[in-house]
Amino acid sequence: MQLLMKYSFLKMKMVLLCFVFYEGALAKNDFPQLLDINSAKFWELVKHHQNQKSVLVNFWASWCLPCVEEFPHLMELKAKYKDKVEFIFVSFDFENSRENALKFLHGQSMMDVSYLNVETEQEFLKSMPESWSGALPYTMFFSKKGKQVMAMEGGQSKEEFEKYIRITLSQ
Amino acid sequence: MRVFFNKWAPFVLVMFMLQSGFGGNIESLSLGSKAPMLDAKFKDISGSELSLSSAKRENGLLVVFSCNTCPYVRAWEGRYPELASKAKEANIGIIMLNSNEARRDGGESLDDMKSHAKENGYLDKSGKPLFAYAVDKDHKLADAFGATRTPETFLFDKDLKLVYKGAIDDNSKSEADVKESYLKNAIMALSKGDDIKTASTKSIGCSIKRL
Repeated sequence: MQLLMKYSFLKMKMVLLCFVFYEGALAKNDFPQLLDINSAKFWELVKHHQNQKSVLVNFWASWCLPCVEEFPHLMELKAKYKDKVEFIFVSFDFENSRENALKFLHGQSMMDVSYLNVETEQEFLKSMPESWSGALPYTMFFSKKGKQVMAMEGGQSKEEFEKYIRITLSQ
Repeated sequence: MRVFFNKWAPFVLVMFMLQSGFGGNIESLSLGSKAPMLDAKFKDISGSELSLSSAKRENGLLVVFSCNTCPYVRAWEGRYPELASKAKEANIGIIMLNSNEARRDGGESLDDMKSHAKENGYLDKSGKPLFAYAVDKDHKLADAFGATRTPETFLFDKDLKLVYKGAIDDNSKSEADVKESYLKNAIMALSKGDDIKTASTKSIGCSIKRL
């Protein structure tokens, strides 16, 4: 009986240790990472990939249902087109939902850097295309030459995303 | 023929999309347009039915697309009672509409709206709504307005012509740090018969959950 109790206690300690380790990993932001970004840095980032890859930008938030519904499609396409298309994810979660965004990205097995807007939305929107009313999600496609090929507001299917990626790659 | 199609099809498709405004985006009501669906009836949280015509007051009408669950609404809604009071002072009617038809069983039903109003300061001390908060069934009004997100505002003058559309102000996160109160300024200008300096703004918001 004493042995059984000792074993149960050990098992509980191990579970607790695993939990602390998991939380610690998230807290340390090993991966996924969610870095602060503003509109100036965002455009620098898009430009950085010019002449190397086409770029797909997705503006999302962890509380936005159509955003989280379409996210797995983007992750699949990210893996499929990794050599040709750079995927940039910018979250519009508030600071108090940063952890939710990180946990969501973790659940999507995101192993790259993602971004969180820290500018006021009005400032960020000033440099955005007229076609974006501000509703989330919003996705933009840039050709390898850096030209914006198209942009879409609202949730999309995997097929739609892939169609637009192919069009972007053809530019 | 097949070679021609393969070569030019993406180009033609892109041109078509550019023409149609980038991937099927919704077109918003233009400034100067008359408010549509004036006599359509909407059921509000007090149980009565009202229309844009009946909600309008002498100097105009403010229409706000809102909801219960969007964090951007939650960030801004503390400013709703003051907006309602400014509109009332300016003799402008106000109606908030919930168009999230696809989420009626996910926190956006009329009963949820009643609870939300009670818990978030939409009622006065006697329990009477400070402004109408009504269901836009099947998002018909949101479609007619080309509204895309919550919160999104549309201000009409005494002839029900659109004079301002867009954000409430320039800072959802902190009311104390607001530099420009777009909607409040537009209401004041409208009541004085002045020109509205900033007649159209944008804001990040939750997409309206259409069917």
